Amino acid sequence: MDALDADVLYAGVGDVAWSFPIMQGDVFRDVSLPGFDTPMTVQVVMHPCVMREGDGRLRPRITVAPVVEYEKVTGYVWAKHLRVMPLPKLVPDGGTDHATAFVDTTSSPSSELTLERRIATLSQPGLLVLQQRLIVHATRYAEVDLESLRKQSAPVLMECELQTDWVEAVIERGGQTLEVVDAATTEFLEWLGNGEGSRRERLYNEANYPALRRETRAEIALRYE
Amino acid sequence: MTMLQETSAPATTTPRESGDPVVTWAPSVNPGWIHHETALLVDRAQMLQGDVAELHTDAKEIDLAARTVGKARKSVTGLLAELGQDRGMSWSDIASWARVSVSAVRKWRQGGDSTPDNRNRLAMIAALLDWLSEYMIEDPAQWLEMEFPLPAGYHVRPLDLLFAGHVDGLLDIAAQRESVESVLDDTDPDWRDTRRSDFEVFDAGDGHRAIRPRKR
Repeated sequence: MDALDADVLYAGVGDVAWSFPIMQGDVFRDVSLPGFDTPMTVQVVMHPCVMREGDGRLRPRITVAPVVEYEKVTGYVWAKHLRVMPLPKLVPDGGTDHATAFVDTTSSPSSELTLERRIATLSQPGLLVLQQRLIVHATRYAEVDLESLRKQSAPVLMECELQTDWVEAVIERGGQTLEVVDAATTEFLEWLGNGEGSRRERLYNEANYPALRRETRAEIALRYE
Repeated sequence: MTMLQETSAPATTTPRESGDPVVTWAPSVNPGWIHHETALLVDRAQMLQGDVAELHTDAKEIDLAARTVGKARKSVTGLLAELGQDRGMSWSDIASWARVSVSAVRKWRQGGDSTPDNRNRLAMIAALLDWLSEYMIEDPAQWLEMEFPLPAGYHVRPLDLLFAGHVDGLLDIAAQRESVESVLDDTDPDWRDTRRSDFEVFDAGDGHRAIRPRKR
């Protein structure tokens, strides 16, 4: 099993920029879950390919698992504690380590998973390690390599990367509000679905990625800078 | 010149004791002498090859360093614009190369503080991309992300060599002086075992990709 240091595991922790679209691996605080008495911290474990509906909005319910305080995350924890996703230094500045308990996986209304409540988002390697551990937990199959997982998720990860760039530029101009993020997301998804050969279709060929980045960043500059 | 002087060397054929006529044929050049002289030449050629290869490696490093100095005249913001907007590199790859987090790169783009080392790392990869362009590699950012043409199951990209610090080997591959396999043999001797995947990604027919065991 692969292991990651905290500085590689997260793309953002603590004060997470709203430009990151909600993704598998995101951690939210104060989420009310059916069957649990008090609001909890949870991690999204639903695969990014099925989290959204046709218009790009989150499905009404998203699969999550509770995050709990945990023993210090060591190499042994990464290698042997296969029922959890270790989350070292989830609380910045010396807080305790945490872990996501896969055994208590449940569904949360997506309305509970708001950007204000998000306290961490995983880096791409972090998300792939989460997927690797979810496979082990669900099937006891421990051999899927991260590169295969990366290739499987490449189109959705690329879309996420481009959307982050786009929304970030709009936030810089219009401020970090839900309205700004929603409007920017809508504009981005519309732009991605248009263009010659549809830019969205081009996400399915990795050779297109540098060109797609250039196009997206040029469009951002044209519209917002 | 020396060879001509030695053509009168005595024959080395030993007469047989059977009573047959003695063979009087003699080579025009002593084979032992040729063996000795060519061995020296082989040694010299190998030394020369080693010296030239070392000089070539040094020259590459000096060339890249000089180009890096030129690129470092740009600010960090300017370098990021070149790498991200003009070249189309991903911020996460840039962060990996600079040995910082993606968040740090985001802050730099917005004018945040960086160190001289950060600036030099960015300048170096900008210089490297220029260098690749000069070696007839169109869209070098795309080339860096493409997998090398290795047998099925092996997924190695130029970026992997770059992040592992094997710039020299990467440049030799780009210039077609070395094969991918030979560079990997030198830099990662276990790559045939450690970099092989038993899986393949395929279109699952539901609009998404899926993973299955690779057919042998």
